[in-house]
Amino acid sequence: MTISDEELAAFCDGECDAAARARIEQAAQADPVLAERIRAERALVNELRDSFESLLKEPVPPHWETLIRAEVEPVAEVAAAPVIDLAAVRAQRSQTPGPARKQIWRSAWIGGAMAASLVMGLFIGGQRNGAFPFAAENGALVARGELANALDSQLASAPSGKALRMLATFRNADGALCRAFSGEIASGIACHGSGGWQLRHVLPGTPAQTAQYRQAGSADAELMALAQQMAAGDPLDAAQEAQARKDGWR
Amino acid sequence: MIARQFADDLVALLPKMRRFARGLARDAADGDDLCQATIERALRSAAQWQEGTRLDAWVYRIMRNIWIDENRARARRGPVLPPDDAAFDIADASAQGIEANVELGNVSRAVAKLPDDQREAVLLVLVEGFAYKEAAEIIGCPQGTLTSRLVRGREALMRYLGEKP
Repeated sequence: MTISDEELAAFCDGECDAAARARIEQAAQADPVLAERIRAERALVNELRDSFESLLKEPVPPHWETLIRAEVEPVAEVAAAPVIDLAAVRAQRSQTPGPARKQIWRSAWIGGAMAASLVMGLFIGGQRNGAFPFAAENGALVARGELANALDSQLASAPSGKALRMLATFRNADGALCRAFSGEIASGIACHGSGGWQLRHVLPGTPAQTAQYRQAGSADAELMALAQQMAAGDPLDAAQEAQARKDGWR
Repeated sequence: MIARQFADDLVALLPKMRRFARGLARDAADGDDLCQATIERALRSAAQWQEGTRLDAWVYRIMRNIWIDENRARARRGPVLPPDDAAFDIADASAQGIEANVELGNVSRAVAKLPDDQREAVLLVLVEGFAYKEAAEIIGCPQGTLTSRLVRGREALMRYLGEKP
């Protein structure tokens, strides 16, 4: 009796009916060539499964999950952050000039934007020498000196009294960690790469002038809008940010 | 906007999606690009998914369609070669690339050498464990077409792997 390749494949894949199964099993007992074909088919499938099984153990890029979670209806987040007054945010947004007004802020970003606009920055010197806190390197602007130090060490979740402040930390579409910062000489967004912190956006800073206190202005809102455009998902929360610093911003 | 359950299910599928993408694309980086494009399209089209149907089959169908479109676009951009030669060149170059870059076993290299239609049949049925009917639906071909591709793919794999003299 001959068994076609199709029949044999269906038999091995559990795709044939009971009658065909019984017929092939019976035939295999009397036919060593057929028994060997079945053995080889099964060995092949096992080898395939084992080989591809190992791929499942590799951790997937974390920004994929961030991408997905960012699309979830934000019921839980709003409930978890009752201090945010959405009406106030909308009112503030309508006063913001330029493209920022068109932004639809996802809930997790609102906290950062609110914090950025409500924090009273105390200015105590710093950056007095007026040197640019970045340098051109291989066609990219790379953070230097005080800015590089602040990007490496300061947490957005723990606001400092320093002139240079971190507004938010997030991952961009490439999975790189990026940070929005605001300072006297320059504000902007820098993303971490092999050569350190590369500046992706640079905006004029907010000079300290004479006032000791100031309210962070619309430049911060503009930065947050840029950050939201670049980000794949929500900004890092305090714990994630601390962990990212521990991991060297990788 | 998507439901939390949909997000949870999609996140749980990511390792398998990534594996299928890598199998189709035959390259880790291309596979990840394909997987990310699939995630983005699945999120945009989430409303079209019917609850109660298999999410994995739906996502795999999206991935396969993106991959086919991408291949067509690439073929249009590339030089015009007779189809057989082109398939052979691409398969060969890619197999060498995999050999050089990643630590992959003989099996993955053998799978990478298969023509596209046989490779996707082998991946869906033998690796991912879809039934013939489901695999045929994902590909959008009659079940008989799927089975014959599967049989040819199996034979070629056995030859490459020395299971058959």
